[in-house]
Amino acid sequence: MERWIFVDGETERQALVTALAGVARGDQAALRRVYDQTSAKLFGVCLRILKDRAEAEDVLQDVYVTVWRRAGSFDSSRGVSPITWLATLARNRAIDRLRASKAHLSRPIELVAETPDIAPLADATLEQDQTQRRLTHCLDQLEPDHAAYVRSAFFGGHTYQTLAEAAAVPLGTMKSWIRRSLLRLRSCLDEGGAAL
Amino acid sequence: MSDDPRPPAAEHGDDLLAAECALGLLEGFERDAAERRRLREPGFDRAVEGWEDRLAGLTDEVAPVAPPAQVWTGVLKQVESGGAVVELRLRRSLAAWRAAAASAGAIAAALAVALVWPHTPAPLSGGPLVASTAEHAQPALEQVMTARMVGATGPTVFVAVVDPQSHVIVVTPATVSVTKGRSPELWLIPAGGKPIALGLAAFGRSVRLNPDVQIGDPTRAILAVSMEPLGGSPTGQPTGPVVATGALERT
Repeated sequence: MERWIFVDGETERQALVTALAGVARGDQAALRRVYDQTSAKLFGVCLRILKDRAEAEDVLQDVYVTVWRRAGSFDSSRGVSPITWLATLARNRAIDRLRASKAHLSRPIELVAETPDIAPLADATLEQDQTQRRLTHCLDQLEPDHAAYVRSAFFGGHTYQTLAEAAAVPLGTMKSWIRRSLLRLRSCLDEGGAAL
Repeated sequence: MSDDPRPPAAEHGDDLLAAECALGLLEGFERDAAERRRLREPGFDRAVEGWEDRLAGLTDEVAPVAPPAQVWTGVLKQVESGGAVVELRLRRSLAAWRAAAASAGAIAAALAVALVWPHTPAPLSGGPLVASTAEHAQPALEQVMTARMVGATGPTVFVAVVDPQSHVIVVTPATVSVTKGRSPELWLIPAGGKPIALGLAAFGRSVRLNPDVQIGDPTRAILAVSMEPLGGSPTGQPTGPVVATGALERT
């Protein structure tokens, strides 16, 4: 597979925006460029969520077919980065699949597993690197258990209800923990972003 | 990404709800209500996107894994086969449609009919619903309602066109992922009431349903699709996850 080398995050972002615009016009070569640039990341996300290779491959294929069909709905002027758009699409599709299979219901909250599995990549772009460092830094400010609940919701498809059940606490308690965590996360991200 | 236009200081509770929506913490009616707001309130929708953006950094914690070559082959095969006409049309108009959804029901309805039309199998063409609306606007059109059912990410999952007079509902898949061993089931959720089963939709084609259901005040009802065991819910109530919801809009 072709390997893309970018000097900085903005260049990668621009390349992706350009490629997505090509996809929106029905350019298959542009779809291939999007795929080459992003499929390893998105496959990692699908695998992390589904923990099943065949399912993850299936969802990944579905994600790129969706990109082909929906690239026109990506609007870079709204300020969402293209990789965020793609990662969110992959994450949500994988979560939908996970919930449909109900596999997650029997899955315990993985307090250990739902922590970062890698340090910032050596070849990560600046954009990714900064975003991750900022978010990881802010998650680190939370109670470790609470950060794990946020990650379990994100990667495990857990809802307030299933988190409360898994943690054996009342629903209201789980809600207030997570809501407080989300508010802290927001203020940390919004304040601290520029500092990093 | 410090240049991101964040949603304007949304109300505290609203922004939390947006976060809950983005993270997928809600279930059932709470989730449906939030999805409905997303569809109707562009400001709220942006707040959800703002949170998706914040949280997407979590995906950077995951090590990339190169997918096997067959994934691309599979993508190419589906892309080259043309896919559903529905989605190609949808792709062009999704943004405009979403913006118009709150006020301009007529546009959405016209689009929904256009979406249904190229996809509908022959038996449908004789039906009063589609036949009367596709070509020229006739008086019967006033009765017809549409629902664009969206999932957590915002893509349209199913489109339904409802004729409350004849009780005919045509439900058409848009960007639905096929789930093996499951049947998508359509539900009517009256305001403050329990879901009423309307029948089974399908992943790859339009389905015409003729449920024996009286829709009291359709403007206050929403339609939902849940993933059920093959053949539909065994209990008469949704047992699987709700993958999409949408409000009924008058045309």
